[in-house]
Amino acid sequence: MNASADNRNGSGIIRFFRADTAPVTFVIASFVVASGILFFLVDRGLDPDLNKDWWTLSFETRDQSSLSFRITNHSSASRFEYVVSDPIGTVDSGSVTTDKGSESLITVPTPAGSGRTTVIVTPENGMPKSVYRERP
Amino acid sequence: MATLPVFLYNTLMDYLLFVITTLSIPAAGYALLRGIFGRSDGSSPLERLVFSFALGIGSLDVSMMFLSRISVPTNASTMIAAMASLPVAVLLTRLAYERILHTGNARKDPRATMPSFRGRESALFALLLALTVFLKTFFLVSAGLPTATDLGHHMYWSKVIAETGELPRYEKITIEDAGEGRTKLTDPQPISDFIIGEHLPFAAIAILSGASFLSAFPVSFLLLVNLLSVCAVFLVATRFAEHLSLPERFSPARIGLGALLFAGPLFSIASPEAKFVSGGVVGNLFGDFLIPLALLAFLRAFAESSPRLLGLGILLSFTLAYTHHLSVLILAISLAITLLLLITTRRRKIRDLGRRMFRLLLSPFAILTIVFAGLFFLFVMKPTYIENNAVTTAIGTATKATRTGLTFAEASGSTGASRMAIGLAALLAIVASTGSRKSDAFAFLAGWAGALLIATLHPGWMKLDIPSDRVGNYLSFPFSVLAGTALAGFPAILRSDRLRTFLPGQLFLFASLVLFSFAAWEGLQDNQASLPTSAKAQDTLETFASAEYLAARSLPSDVFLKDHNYITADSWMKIFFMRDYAYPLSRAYFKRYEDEAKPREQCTLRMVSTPNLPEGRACFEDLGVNLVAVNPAYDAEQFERSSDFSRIYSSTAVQVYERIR
Repeated sequence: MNASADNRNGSGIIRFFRADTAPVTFVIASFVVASGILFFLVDRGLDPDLNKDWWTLSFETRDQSSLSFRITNHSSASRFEYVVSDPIGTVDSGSVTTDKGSESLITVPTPAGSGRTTVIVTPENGMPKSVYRERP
Repeated sequence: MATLPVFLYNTLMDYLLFVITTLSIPAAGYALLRGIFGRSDGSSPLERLVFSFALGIGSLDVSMMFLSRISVPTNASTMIAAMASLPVAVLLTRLAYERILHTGNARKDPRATMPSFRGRESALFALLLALTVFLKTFFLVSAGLPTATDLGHHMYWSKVIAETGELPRYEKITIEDAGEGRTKLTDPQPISDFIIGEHLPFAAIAILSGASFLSAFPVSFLLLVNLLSVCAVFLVATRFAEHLSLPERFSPARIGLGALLFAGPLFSIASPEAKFVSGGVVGNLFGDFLIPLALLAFLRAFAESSPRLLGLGILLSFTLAYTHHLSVLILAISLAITLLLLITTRRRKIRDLGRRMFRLLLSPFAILTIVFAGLFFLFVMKPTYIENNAVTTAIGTATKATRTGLTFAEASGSTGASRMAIGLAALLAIVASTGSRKSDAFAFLAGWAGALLIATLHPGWMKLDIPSDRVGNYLSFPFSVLAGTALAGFPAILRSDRLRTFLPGQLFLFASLVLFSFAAWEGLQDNQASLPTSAKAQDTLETFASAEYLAARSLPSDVFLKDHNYITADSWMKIFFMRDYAYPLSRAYFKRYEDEAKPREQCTLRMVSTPNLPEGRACFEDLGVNLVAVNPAYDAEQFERSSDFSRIYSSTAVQVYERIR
């Protein structure tokens, strides 16, 4: 074994650092690694369900006469109680099970009369949300 | 809900396509570089990488603008054809030229190669770069979500290009006075705030890779531009040191590493670094990349008497002119002061100077480049700020207090006191050194730093009417070069025989360590103070969900207004509608409604803050606004009290109200 020749040439990593192209390799490798990390973590951040706890309530259409509503669930709750009421009283009530990452559409008959008709939805162990229509 | 393997697969595919598409830009640029210079350009591999990326961006911009000019839709196939054609044509011409003249095996001029960069220095470069990338990535992990206002604005225009295949008309609807206290929505009016080069690269990547703008791709691309800017500063410092006529013990490679320290890991997060990346300050980031590169090309062209390098500098300046107006103005001022210094320091050799400059400018390649740029400008496309005559708005007496210049303390705070102080000391030391003062590199370096100092501290001397803090952001790079020169220069001074007999070396060693510690402490302190405190992921998703809900149910008659003060990532809502840059309308920051220097309409304020008062109601009637999005924690009550509004959408961070007719 020619130890002195090996020492003169240096190990692989030393030869690598001596190469003119080493800085180019570092720069490209840095970009590839950093952007990989960003893609993975930002995509996780933008996943609506991963480590998230939120839900939304909305009317299904823009039609002023429709009270059908949608629950979009990204929370840990799965059971939602709903009450639909107008100035006269309760129009409809019930409960629905919506898993995380799913949606539920609830169709409600439109009552006669005018005024504010409100849909209140309360998740298990959570704060309620409401939407309402002002019907002239 | 996607399972983890599906999530990983989707993310991996998006990421790989993004990386391949992005790296094709410097590949195209390299073909162009090789075509221009052949094998003997006297550049290091790192210089070639950085120049290639810049030329790739320029080639991409030119291709897409040209396609638009000849009314060819921009899609993946036309883009690839256009992007490849110019570099391939130039490269084939070069290969044919070399074959005919048998110059393919010509030896490189050894004097024109990069200063030696040994194993230890290469390892230190890797360490500093790794530290820089780590700090920036750490910051961007929580600040890299698509929430920033500026980035949202820019991605809207990029998406217009990606979706329509055409270049956008930079215009927006506005609210104006209709007389008798009424207001109206105008047709789209031209705006000069945007320049096409800020949007073409993102559109190109989206078209070629299919990447969503609501992902990590915009921030990842800007991170690459920022990293290459840091590399550009390293290269500039190394080349400047090589041409500064410093004594032999001043190693250019070590001066470059000193500059890399100041431009890289120290001060790596605060503006104009990683914060500009997450904030989407696209034009500035491209400017910070192209300005030092253009100066590097011009310095080398002048020092090495190379027409091709002059042509390269012209091409880089041309790319910058189509990318960011403020940056091209900064470059122009820097070159003007450089020319003044060259003339001043060579009073006795002014004829030689003139001859050198004319020989370069009148060389065939330089003329070819200037003719190409001129023809493109006249017959293909002009930058927006030229078309809209917006240049004059930046020239003249300052119209606001924020444009009258920063104090020295403010400029130091923005740049970093240690970087400013050490950099100024280096500048003065170079001025005091007769040999260095008369060098070409001094004129370029002092021109760059001096132009920015004057523009920041005394813009009135140059008749500039631009926000001074924006100009001050450009100080960090020339002062990184100067500070790096000083930092690497101290050990060289310690080795001076004259100094050893005069003062103890230990004293200077102690002073060097104190200086280094001060700079490192301040730079890292600045990083720590710039770290974000909380993630906004959930609020961002709620904003996007509300926009998606409305966009899916929108009617042509809808006019949607949202709040900018309290809704996270609100500027990105326009990307779901793609109706107009100013749609949805926006209640701006409250202080803007009180700005006496720039009075603005009050309707967007009234419609959200006081929808039930007569003035608010009149605005709703005049403008036809029928949808309002607010953060319920701040702005729900005034709508709940009113019987004019239904609440049609509810989440924790966003509620949407519809005005009934």
